[in-house]
Amino acid sequence: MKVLLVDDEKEFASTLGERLEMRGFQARVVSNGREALSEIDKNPPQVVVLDIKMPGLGGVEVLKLMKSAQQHIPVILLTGIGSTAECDECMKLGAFDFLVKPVQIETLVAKLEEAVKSGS
Amino acid sequence: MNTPDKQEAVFFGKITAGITHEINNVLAIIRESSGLMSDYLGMSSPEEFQHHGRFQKGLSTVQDQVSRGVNLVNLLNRLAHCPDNERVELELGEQIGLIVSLCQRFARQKKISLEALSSSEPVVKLIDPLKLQMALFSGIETCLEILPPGGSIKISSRHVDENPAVLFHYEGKSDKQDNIPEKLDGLSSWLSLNNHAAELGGRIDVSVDSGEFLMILAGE
Repeated sequence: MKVLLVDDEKEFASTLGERLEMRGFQARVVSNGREALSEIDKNPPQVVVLDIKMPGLGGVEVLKLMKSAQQHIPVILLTGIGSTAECDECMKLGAFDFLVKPVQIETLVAKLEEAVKSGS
Repeated sequence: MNTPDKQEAVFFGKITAGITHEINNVLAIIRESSGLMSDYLGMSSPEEFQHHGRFQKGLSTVQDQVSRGVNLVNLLNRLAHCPDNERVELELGEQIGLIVSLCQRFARQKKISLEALSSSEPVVKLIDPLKLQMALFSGIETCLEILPPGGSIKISSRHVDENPAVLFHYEGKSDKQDNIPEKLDGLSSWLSLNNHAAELGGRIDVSVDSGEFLMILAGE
């Protein structure tokens, strides 16, 4: 399963990516919204894991641009604390679901599998 | 328009809320890094690596402490957002739970147990969140001041004649129990509690015999 991880906390994203690889996923990691959109365009993943709060293009903007470009790849949002309003907005925009950081790897794996099934 | 006090609270709130996000990110990195170490450890057997058990135990402690830290920063973040709104509809039981969780360290240091009791019904009030938290904190501080080590504090929400109220119940074996009214009068936290209650349009009723005081807030 091809997963794109988008998070400006590079250490977090790369470690999470490595853990997903150990569980059989093909994980690619980018650290901002622009790179994410470019990667989605060039090499579409089956699911995107997107941090909501990032400098520059944030998660909400990336999701809006994906939707306006008719991208129907399921998106799982990663939120920090106290981001309920943004999560609600993203769910209305068509995000698959959201998880609160730090996330248990088993929870993320289950959510990724669920998201891909929903998109197939 | 915000008063200078309110401006200070907003300032501290904004900084604290921002920092709690950063700490949460730090904790997320620690969780993933220790999780990765745990994943690699899981690939080896205790026969191959003689410190397998010790490492596993250490990593499990790291994960537990991350969970503890995440819980604390979440609580602190909620408190930091209190100055965001002048008045908001709040469930008093939830607000008691928040400040009780944040004050556990103060209680532990004095060897006093501090507990939020759940109410049989929700007690909702349109209120200034910051002033409410300050009033609740002053109530807790008062109880901590008057109780000896080994004492206990139980806080709950209720309706009193249809008015929202908070009950502070304190218990502790002390030969100074009879002097509690005098002790209260000399406490700055008690004065603060009364002032905050008045600012919230409420009052404090004391019942020394049953070891409790009640903050009764004005109904809508």
